[in-house]
Amino acid sequence: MGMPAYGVGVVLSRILDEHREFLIDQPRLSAFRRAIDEVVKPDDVVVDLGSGTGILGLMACRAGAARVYALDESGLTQLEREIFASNGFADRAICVKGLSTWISLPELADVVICDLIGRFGFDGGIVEYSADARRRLLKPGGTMIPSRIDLCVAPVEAPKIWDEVDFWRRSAEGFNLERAYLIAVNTGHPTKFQPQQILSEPAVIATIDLTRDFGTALSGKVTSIIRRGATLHGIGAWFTAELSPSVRMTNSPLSEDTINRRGVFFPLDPPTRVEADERVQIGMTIVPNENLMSWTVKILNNGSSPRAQFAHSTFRGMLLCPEDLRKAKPDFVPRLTSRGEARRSVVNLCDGRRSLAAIEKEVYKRHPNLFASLAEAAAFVAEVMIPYAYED
Amino acid sequence: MKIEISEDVVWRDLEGEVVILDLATQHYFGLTGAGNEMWHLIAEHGSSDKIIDDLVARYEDVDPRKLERDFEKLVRELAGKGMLKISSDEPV
Repeated sequence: MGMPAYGVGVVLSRILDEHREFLIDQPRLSAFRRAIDEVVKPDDVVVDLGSGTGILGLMACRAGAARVYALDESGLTQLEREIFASNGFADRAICVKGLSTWISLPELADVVICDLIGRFGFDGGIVEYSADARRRLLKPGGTMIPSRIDLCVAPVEAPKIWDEVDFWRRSAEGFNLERAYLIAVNTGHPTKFQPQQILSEPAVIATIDLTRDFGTALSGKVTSIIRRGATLHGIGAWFTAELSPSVRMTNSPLSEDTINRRGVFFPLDPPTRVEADERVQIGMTIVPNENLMSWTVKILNNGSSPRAQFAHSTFRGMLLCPEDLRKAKPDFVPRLTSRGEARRSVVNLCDGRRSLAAIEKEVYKRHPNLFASLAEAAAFVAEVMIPYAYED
Repeated sequence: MKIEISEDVVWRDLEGEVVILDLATQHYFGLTGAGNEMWHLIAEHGSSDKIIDDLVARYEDVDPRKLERDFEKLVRELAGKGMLKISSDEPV
């Protein structure tokens, strides 16, 4: 039998580390606790999307939830079950391993909770997962936590993170790496901003309403007034999420209750000097489900036409290869590689009658040039089969 | 005639092709050869007169009327897809 690769200890410790970071973030925990206490009523059914160690579901149980469906695609599911059990909630928690968009539940929920907010309010996948859960898993009139997310921006002076972008214009070992600079200036860079780096009053450039459908793209335009002379390196971005009618959670560098989550720096090429009282117009178009966005900046002094303007997009920052793009064209006629053929064999052999061992043996027999041993074939079968197979 | 690339449109060069993506509709479009060149001129000049002058200077051996017709055809097609905005009532 092939051991699923993600079960090994080294990887798990990294996952645990990530969750430890979430769990020591008191402002985050406090915000969710207050929101859950406000929203979850006794006997409610709650769904937690991307539940991790189950902390938000535990809070929902403590608030009186009758049942919590904790959905997570990572390998934490069994650990989560044990955590619920050791806190006395084994009978109320149903932990399901898998992507929430692939899972159906036997009952609809009163409340859906999701902290896949990311750093800029959409980049953790919350828009896609919440929209699906609202359509399929939530009762009509049920509550989403969060219900809305404001995407906030401000011009920033950020020489240190800019230097990491500019790194690509310098050579390494005498070699020219400048082609990567085009990628770096068209990419969002996670960073923690200090309040003094923010050059104007932040503004909400777009709002995601998680209680209703919206088109595929969000866009907005705001104008900020520069407070002091500085070098404008780029746009700082973060979010404020409405978790309940009275609870907000933010990673704003200007908030006293900021959670321990970095914001995002969107660079401008080149950094430009700005003076106090100059106006900076920021425009953004965001496609949340594709993690695609563009940002445009115009520096307007007193005249009507901008004295400097910039246009960037993560499309220019993508690591695109022409061969991949050719495969996306409508007239492309796909043919399977030998590995693709092996994958097809696995899927065809999963016929509800053959055992795993029989499938592994048959795949090894049919594709002798692909696998050096039965163990290698078994690992391949596990990789293909696990996401799609179910047990009675 | 002013020709602008729509605000939701992003583009990049990739091995001799300009790849254009409309973020609002998620439609991709690729231009090679003269189309690629015309797109860059639109991005640079934003005016049909300047672009046609530039094209005529680049392709001395091609009939200017043919260049103009090809350019108009491309602009109409891209405007029809929402990738370009033409800010004039006159036909291209």
